[in-house]
Amino acid sequence: MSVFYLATALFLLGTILLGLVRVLRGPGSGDRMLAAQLFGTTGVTILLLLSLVLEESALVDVALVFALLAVVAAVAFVRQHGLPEPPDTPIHRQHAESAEPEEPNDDR
Amino acid sequence: MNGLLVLFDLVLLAGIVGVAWRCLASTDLFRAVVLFITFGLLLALAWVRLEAPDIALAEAAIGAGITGALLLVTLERLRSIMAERRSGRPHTPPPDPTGPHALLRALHDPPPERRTFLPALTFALVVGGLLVTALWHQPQSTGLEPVVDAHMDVSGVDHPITAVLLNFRAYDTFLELAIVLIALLGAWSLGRHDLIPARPAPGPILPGTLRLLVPVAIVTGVYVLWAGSHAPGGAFQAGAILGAAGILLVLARPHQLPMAPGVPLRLGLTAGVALFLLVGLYGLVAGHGFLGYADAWAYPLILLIEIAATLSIALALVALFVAGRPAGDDA
Amino acid sequence: MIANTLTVVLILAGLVFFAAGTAGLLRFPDVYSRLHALTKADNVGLGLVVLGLMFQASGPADILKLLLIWLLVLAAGTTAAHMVAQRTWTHGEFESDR
Repeated sequence: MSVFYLATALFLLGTILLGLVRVLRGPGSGDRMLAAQLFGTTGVTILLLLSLVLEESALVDVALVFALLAVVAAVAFVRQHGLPEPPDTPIHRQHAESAEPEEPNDDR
Repeated sequence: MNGLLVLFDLVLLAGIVGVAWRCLASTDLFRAVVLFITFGLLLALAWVRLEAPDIALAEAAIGAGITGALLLVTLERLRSIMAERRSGRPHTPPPDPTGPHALLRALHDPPPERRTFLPALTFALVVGGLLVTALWHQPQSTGLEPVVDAHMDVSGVDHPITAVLLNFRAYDTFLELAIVLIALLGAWSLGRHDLIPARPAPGPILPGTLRLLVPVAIVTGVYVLWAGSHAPGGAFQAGAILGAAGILLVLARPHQLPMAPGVPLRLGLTAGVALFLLVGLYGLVAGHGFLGYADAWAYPLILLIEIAATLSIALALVALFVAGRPAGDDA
Repeated sequence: MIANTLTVVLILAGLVFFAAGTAGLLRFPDVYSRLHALTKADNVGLGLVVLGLMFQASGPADILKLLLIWLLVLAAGTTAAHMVAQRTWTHGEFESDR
């Protein structure tokens, strides 16, 4: 049976490597993100199978954590525009400083 | 069966190296971030094959989830800074070698491959050769496992990794917690948020899913913390899971995020390091040496330290993600 | 013996869906159809594999853990697919290979 699980895990690893083509080619960011989502699910399956091959029951916990955190990256992708720009960062101060000499020109 | 395992390892190795190469060579930053997330997943599988489920747990929590989210948000913020600059000023700003403009330019126009390929290949071959030679001539040794196993009965826990992390080498874990705190202080020194406005999601899917996922995440985090005493798990992993739940809430905020009152947040953040220090000093006073425990007190002390550490790590991760100082600071 | 046979059959069935999911990911022309392929692998593929592994579980706790993993992946996969589709729709990054 272990041989069967291992062969299955190997096959799934192969599907991850094949799916990388979609990440590399795109063309949109949605394509890349959904490929990463598929890798997460396939990773969960590989971990479940490996827990039987390597006889390490803790790997089921690792699969559980993986399943839980797979959604964090996807939510971050969709809500990317979320966190606002803090008004008081060095970038903005630099922006404001180098903008000052230009203002007299703009008023004319 | 052994042959199949070797094949699995080889395919995994090829995947890791291939993904790392494409990630570094990628001109599109978003593609590089997604490849990095995939790299984290493959690395977690590698840790599993190296018989380190604790690290695989940490890699799954931090590497694949939180770091991915952090990079995506940072990338978007970088892009919005660039868009703002381009739209707000007709003149191109003076090139700033440390600014995001130069960084993006350098990343989009890499040097021609010919100039860097040969030196990079030579370097990789030299380092690889040195590593192989070192592994070949490894001195035969049983390692520290027998020593740790011999002392498990006085360590207070059943899991050797937790015993090493929180009893035998607690000093290292103490310093690691301090490093997380220092990293947060570094992020806080860069700027300040005044208030984070609400941004409710369009549609019921996101809030509904979070209503389901966040409680499960909290329970899983507490479970992983508890399991750390007899199975892979522990404070860092549990803290990362709780931190991820907090990040989900920050990303999907239906209401305005209140600026957490300064003092409780700071108390929570420093609880891990402070408690560790207190326990260590008490050990010094009681005659066991710094961070030494009396045998009967080992398990309760370890549990207490782990709970405080989990809280601190979770808060630190969310605070790093938001990256703004709490209200009530110097004006 | 019967448990082993059932496990093998169910896992092989699940593998079919995973293979179909990857094939769809590579061959379908645009984001929305690829999302269909993805969610088939997520839901049915993992579900069949988990069902097969339940017959090898060593107790009710393990069975419930496997069930929980499947439900979490269901929730995460569904949400992610919906949100990616929504974002692609609103941001107009729709590019079809045909």
